[in-house]
Amino acid sequence: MSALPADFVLNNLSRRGFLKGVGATGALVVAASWGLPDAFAADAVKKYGGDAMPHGLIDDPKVYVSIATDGTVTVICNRSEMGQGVRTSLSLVVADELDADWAHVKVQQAPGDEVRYGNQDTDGSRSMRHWYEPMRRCGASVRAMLEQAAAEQWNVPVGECRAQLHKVIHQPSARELGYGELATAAGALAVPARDSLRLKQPSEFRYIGKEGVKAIDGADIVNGRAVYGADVHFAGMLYATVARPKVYGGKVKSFDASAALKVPGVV
Amino acid sequence: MITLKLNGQDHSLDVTEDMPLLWAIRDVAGYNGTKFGCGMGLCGACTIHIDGAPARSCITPIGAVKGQAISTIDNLHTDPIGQVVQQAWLDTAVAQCGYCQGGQIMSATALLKTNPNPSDAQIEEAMVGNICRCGTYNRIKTAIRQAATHLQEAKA
Repeated sequence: MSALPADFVLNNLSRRGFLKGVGATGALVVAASWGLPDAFAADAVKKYGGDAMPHGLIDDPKVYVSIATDGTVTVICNRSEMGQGVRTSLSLVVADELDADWAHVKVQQAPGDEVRYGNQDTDGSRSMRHWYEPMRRCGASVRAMLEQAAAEQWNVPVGECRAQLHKVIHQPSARELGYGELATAAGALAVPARDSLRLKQPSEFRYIGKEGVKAIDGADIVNGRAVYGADVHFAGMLYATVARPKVYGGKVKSFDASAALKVPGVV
Repeated sequence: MITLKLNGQDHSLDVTEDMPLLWAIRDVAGYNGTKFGCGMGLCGACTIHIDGAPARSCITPIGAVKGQAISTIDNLHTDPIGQVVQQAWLDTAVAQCGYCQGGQIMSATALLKTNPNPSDAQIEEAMVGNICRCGTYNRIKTAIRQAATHLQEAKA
């Protein structure tokens, strides 16, 4: 695999956008708009992968990442944990691009809300395939916002500020500010444009593909604190159970609830 | 009213004597670490300690344990041997979904309390009633061996 240049910038360049760009300096797009208008219209709306899922992908870091003034980074996990480790893996991707210290990262489970969190189906081994890039962009956006906030505070060019392991460093003056110290100022900044983000080179990864990171829920599991569906209680909550026939393929002939309704608590 | 000695405290519970201990622990006393798996004593997810011995709380009526000390995974971190087992579980990264692991850890702790240096056969015999849908059995065994080693080292 050839190495990407150090100043590589991820561009979200669609085919239609590319043709428009070419059109500004050439005649290609004119010919295309005469000859194949329907094909290009379809190309613009056709979606693939995570984008094609209901409610698609969301990469707004203000939805997925927050940093408290004590430096605690909280990442929202929009997928269901079933032992596949998704609460750890998606948070880890954010933490890596953010260059966060994993010891100060927490995960918070998203409620079911696809308008806010994008597609939440947890099936088909799709969570990481579909959400790797959006989660990286979330982490990279917050990293850029922290660097920007530090640059403004020090009144230095942002290019001289580098986020590294939970702090932003200004190398020329050897000053540094922790993520917690920068959290409020960074949170007030606009989210950088997707096309301006600098994603890490694989050689820069701190956690992705590395050994030694423990599951984020490990301590909760061994202490009986992990919350499963059956552990969720609401006031006045009712419980339902399925009454199954005693024979395979049995069908309901008649139903009489009177005996069951005499049991205390059955409604 | 039934008084349950649970995790070092007396709980007065307004339940009938035939209520499964698991329901009393989870739904009435509010300790959620012990899990419902099968409700028939077949899977081990509901394993607790009754006076230190492992038992399936889903098939134990609360009326049968009056006056006995019940402890659950929620309070195991206060037990010196329990702590060693929990740390071995973390070091070995045993859990996947984790739903059965509270019961696994309770069975393993009870084993090491009576037999601090079990053979592989003894580990298998003690753990045979705890099943794991994720299939973490090999790591469970590794963790128990590690915990046993630590207990031996601490004694020496």
